[in-house]
Amino acid sequence: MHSYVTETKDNDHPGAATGGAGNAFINHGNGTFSCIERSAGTLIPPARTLDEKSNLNAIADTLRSPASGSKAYPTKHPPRSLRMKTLIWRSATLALILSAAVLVGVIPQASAQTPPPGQPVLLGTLGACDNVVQGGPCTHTSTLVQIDPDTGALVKTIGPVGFTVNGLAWDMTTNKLYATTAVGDVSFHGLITIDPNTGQGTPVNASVNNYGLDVTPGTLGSPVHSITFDSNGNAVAWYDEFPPPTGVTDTFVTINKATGIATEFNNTGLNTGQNGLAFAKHDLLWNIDSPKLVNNVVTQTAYLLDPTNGHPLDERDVSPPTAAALGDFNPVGNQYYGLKFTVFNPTTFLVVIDLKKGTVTTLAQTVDDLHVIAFVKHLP
Amino acid sequence: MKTLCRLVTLTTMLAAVLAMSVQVSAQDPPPGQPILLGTTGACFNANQGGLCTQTSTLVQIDPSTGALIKTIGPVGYTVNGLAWDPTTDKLYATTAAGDVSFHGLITIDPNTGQGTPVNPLAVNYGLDPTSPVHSITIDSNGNAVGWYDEFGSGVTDTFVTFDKSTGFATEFNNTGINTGQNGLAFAKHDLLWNIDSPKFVNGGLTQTAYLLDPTNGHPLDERDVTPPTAAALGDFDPVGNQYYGLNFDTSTPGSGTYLVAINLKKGTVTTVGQTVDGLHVIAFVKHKLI
Repeated sequence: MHSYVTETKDNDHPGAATGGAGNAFINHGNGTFSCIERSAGTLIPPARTLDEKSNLNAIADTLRSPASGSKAYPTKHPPRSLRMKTLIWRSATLALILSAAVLVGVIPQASAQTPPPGQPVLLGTLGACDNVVQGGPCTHTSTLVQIDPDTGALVKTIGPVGFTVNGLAWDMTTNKLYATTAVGDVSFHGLITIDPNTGQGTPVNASVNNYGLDVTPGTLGSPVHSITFDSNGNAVAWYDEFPPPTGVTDTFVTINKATGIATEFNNTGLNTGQNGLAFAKHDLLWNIDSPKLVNNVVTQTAYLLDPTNGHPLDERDVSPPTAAALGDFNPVGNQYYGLKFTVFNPTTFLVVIDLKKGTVTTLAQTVDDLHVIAFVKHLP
Repeated sequence: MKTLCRLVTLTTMLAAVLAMSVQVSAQDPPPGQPILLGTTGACFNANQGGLCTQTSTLVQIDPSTGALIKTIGPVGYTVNGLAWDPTTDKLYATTAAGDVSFHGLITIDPNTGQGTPVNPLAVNYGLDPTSPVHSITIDSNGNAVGWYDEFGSGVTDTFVTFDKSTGFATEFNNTGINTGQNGLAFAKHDLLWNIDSPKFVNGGLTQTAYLLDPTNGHPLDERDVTPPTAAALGDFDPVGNQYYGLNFDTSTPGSGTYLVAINLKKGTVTTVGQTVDGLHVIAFVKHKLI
């Protein structure tokens, strides 16, 4: 575990402390931020799931008991009445076994781990870059997990990605899970796909490092993060820019998911940090910024962006101001879910933003070191 | 002595010019400042769907107070929607379904108030006579759209696009929203908003602004604003990008009209002040390059 403070604005910039967007920040209100590195956390299996399973096993045991009773009846040439009883018993036994199977296996597992079609499935990755030296190589790789969007609890750990993820998005046109990796990723910095069943990451094009963008001398590359897909399969992302030159603003990128090559759109006019970029219903593209001190008041703004160039079209204040980084819109309720990191602590909270009402709700504490989240989405 | 006299004369003349300038600045704000126009006089038909009993008058309003700046002149028609076209610098209006002279698209001379049908043959915009189109608004490319309310079970409001050159409209039925005493207006970046009036939803009074698809009027997004306050037939201030609408009660003549500002960024509604009695629609003068 290593913690330090450095003057920077965000986490994925080569000038920043880490290559991932999971670190905590202190906003000084003057355009500068202190970046506080996160430490690795430990997975805590949710007690609720275990309790449920214990209870259901007990129910299953009770339900299974009549099956043994059936052995009391002969199976060869029984009297008609006895054959009838046997038939009834067998039917009852079968029904009970089926009921038990349903109770033990199908319903609880499906509802907890694989919600039925139409229900939102929330995936995420644990493990931020956590580089020791500013702009240096990452010290962690990520692990794909499934999260319960109602409680923030871990549903299941899927498996190691093999890369350090800083952006995650589901492409509903191909049913593939894509991710961006941190600029300090020691294996590959670029676009990858992730197998949602195993967690294994694979570069889309291993020869396209840094999304095919020019690497600014003295940096590791362009710290692209927060990939998101619209309903037509178009991928876009974001990265933070810092002076010099004075007045430079953040960069929007479009990503060719077939080649892994990105196109930059500089100077969007926005300076965001610890933010989340995500497509909402009707392919409205939002950039949810972190809380900022403006005229001595802490405010938080969601920007509606032009998806062709990342320029802001509209903005909406949300309250109470609460960080909600690297998140996604729930395809069912169209609310934005993001992550709040606590300074000096791997503790992470799941935060929900209702852009209709302008409200921010801290849903619950979620898995330690949860770094990015994305909903599995299906074509309308 | 002659020099002194000339100096006095010059000073007097300069003072007179300055005094006139002050008058000009009060009535015609400098370029870049928002100019808010409006019309007084609603339809006020005796029977629902009947003929209007009033025609409108073009006025200029101070958007910071709601006060009358000047009365420009009679329109000659009963206006129920007003919009500035930044591509032609023309003022367009829709007239009420019960207008006794012409129900359709007109232009209004901003200097005299005089209205003129775009196409006298395009009565009711070429639509079914029962289409009470209102709330015309025009985007930065000169595309004009409007709205009208539908009633009855299961049916939702209708969005229309106008052909400014012919006065004909195209309808897009069943937008999916039911609004009333609303305002349709293009904001910055040509975002099209429909500001609905307050409504009781689940026992609570709420007011919603709908972001619409400008090609068919279907809602793309929505945003609650508070405190719920009617803000009908308004427009977005091209400088501050705040929506200004009118809070009035047509069922109670003389009950007063209030200018209301809605900040969609903050989600707040503010009553700016009481404005001219009978003010029915408002529109900002917008310039292409503001």
